[in-house]
Amino acid sequence: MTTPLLTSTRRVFELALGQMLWARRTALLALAAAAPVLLALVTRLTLSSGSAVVQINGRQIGSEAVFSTAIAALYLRFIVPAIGVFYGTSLIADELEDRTITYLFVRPIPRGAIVLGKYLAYVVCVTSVVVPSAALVFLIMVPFQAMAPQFGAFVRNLGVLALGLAAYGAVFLWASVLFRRPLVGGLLFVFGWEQLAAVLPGYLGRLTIAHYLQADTTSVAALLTTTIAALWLAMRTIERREYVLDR
Amino acid sequence: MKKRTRVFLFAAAGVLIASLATGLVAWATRVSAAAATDELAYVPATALMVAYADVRGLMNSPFHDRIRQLQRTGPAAGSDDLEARTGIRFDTDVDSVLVASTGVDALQERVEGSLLIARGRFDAARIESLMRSRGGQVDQYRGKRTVTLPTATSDTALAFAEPGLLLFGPQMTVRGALDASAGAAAAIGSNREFMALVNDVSDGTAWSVAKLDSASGRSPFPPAVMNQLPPINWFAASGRVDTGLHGRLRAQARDVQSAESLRDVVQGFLALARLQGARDPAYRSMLDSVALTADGTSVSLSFDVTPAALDLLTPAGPPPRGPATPQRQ
Repeated sequence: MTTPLLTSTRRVFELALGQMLWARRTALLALAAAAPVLLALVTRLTLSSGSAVVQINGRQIGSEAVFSTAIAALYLRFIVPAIGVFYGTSLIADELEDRTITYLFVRPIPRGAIVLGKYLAYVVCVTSVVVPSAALVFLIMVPFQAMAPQFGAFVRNLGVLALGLAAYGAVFLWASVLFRRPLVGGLLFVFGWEQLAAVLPGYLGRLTIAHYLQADTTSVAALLTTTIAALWLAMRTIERREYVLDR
Repeated sequence: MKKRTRVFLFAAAGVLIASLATGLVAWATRVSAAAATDELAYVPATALMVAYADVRGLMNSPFHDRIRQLQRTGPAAGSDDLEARTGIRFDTDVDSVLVASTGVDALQERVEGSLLIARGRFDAARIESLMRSRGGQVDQYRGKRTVTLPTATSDTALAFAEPGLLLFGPQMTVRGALDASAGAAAAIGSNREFMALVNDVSDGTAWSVAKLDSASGRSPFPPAVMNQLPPINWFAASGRVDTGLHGRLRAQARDVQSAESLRDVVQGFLALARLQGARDPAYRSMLDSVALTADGTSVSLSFDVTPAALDLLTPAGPPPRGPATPQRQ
């Protein structure tokens, strides 16, 4: 007799969250989250002292603009996809690689709960690191008197960051359920296809997740649909698939 | 869940909540400051464009001194016109000015005309006397003293709305402003969309918000200009002046595609400007400061005119270093 899906999901979530937060991989996540904060500190101090100006692509920018650029160039273009691919592909693939998936499969819980619980743990783990990091960058970079006009965009950006992490995680979780070594394919997708499609003319850009990392209704709907569809496919695949573990 | 995991999650939530709370306080403080702008109470809800300038802040800024050096011209023609009609000296009597326009209709005729709301130190008796000597007629409207100057096209009126607050414009427009202030007509404050944009830019020394949606058959700009623009619903601009000028322009396009088209158009112009100004360090530094961003249907362009750029633009070069000049009062 198996335990109901939600109860099982909660158990897997609690177990996976603890493992995920204190794993070695979290060092990468902490680095990714701390780098923009440090960069913001240095930039703000430099700009405040007036000793230098910040230029990106030859453009001199103020501290408020640095925040927008950090969100667009650092978080949405690099940190979110990178974390999505590294964490998402490892959620199930690591259990297969380490041959520990058996211990989860022999438990009286639905296999879908393993995927769902691990995915929710991933979402909580990465959003609890990346979103506060972006919030700190906002606090550091934007002077209090200039915060008001940027507050709306800041909240929307945090939402987009969370949705992006959720979407990338779900897609690569599905890849992790489908393939034995999904990391290489994931990296090619994120840093190959997505970058290429962004500069190609026509509608190819719409076949990427990065295209929808925007705070408009269509993009939010696309990200939510992608997340739910990928998660459902991952749960369905793991329920039906036979895994043969290497000896 | 282990204790350290719980502690970590609480810490992360704490950082997030602190940031959101700080932003919210900044936003709320700014909203109440914008809502307290008394002048907006006189702007009717039919206004399509509102522009504000903190004249005192502009005049006292080092940036203004540099601009005067650069232009070496007298006061603008518009201020001459105001002085000729009313005796008000724009650069000494006025602290802030707000202009509201109801736009032009499809036949390029002004619907009601522009309303000018000026706050400052005005000698009411002198102004009234000057206007009466030019044929002005004094009367009362909604308990406020107004002086109307008959002209060939339309009657121009000046109303003493509050101590230190003048309304100036076509008689119908001035009366409409007094109606809005008295609550007899809807004021711009009832337009939440407009006010949201005003709140977004009102921290600047000068700012402007314009509704470009042609659904009402009116627009703040002539149709010839409107036809050249991509489909834009709203346009907002703000500038903060200190030793330099920090400007931000924001356009709200009708949809994401229009926003992308607008961004492409602006990018094209910027590329052209960079090509033209590549050899001039003054223009190059200004162009380097330009940042163009698109977020959904919104396209923003920010730029800085730094003191160094102004030095390069001033024919005499940077001002000589020496004892500080006394501050203007």
